[in-house]
Amino acid sequence: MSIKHGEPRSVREVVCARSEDEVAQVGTRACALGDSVRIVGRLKTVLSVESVVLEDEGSEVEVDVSLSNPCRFKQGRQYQFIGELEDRRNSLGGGGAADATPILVARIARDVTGLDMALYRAGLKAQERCLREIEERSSGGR
Amino acid sequence: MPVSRPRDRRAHTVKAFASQVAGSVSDPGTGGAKPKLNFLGNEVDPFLVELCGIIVWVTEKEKYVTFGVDDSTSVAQCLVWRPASAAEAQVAKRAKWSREETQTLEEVARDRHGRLLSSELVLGAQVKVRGRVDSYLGRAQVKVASVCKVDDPNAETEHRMDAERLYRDVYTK
Repeated sequence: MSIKHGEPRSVREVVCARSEDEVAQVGTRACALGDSVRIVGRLKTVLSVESVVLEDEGSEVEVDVSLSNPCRFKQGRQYQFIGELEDRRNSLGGGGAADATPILVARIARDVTGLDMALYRAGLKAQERCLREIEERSSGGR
Repeated sequence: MPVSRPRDRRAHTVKAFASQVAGSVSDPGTGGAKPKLNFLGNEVDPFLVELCGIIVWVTEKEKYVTFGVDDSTSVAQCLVWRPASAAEAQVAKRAKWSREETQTLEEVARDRHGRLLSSELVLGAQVKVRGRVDSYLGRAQVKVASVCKVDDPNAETEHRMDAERLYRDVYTK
């Protein structure tokens, strides 16, 4: 079974997801459509049984939860989603194609109320640093 | 810089990331040769590892259950064997159990495995997995010794910080 892992990204980075050509120009930190990502945020609105809006640091993203594991969604609680970014016209507003922002099609949903976000980000940085050192050590040792 | 190797690596459970497990097969061992595992640049025997992540897939087969644990670095494949029949185990261990003991052992093993499948190995559950990393068909796999669901949402963060600190202060000293 080869399922891609979800790269941890912020809601802001997901909202600015672009096509692969634009990502190549902007840099590796930007999200591309089709990427598997993992995001954390506070549930702002439950649009329907299949769709919720997640908010974090002033940015919002719509999440399609129709394919995810069963999870009870409650406004104001923190949730973590792992899924793929798709280019769909979302329900957040805007009529034209230019206003369409990426939607996260979640395959895993989890209630993480109580997650310390500052510590979470510090943990991710520590992990990145550790893996980079391991990579440098193994490539330097060859 | 060479990494120091503990005398008996099998006795130590290493806190690691899924990407270290997934990338640990340095040589799949074609032509009947034993596969080689690599950890922190050293060739090692199958080693004990602890992972913390989210279950992203579960596949149930007749004799075993496999599941994937995603800790944001990679997805590590884990394997749990279904309990063998106690009668078979009795023959294998040459034990002399009574019929009642055999039945009780089978019921306990089935009940424990059933609870594991229904409460721990569910999609989206955050789990801590301990087991032995080995190679199967050229891919790294964790043969699970224990798996437990962790409700604290900060458990993954704690594991990341611990793994980074242990790597810096212990594993590379």
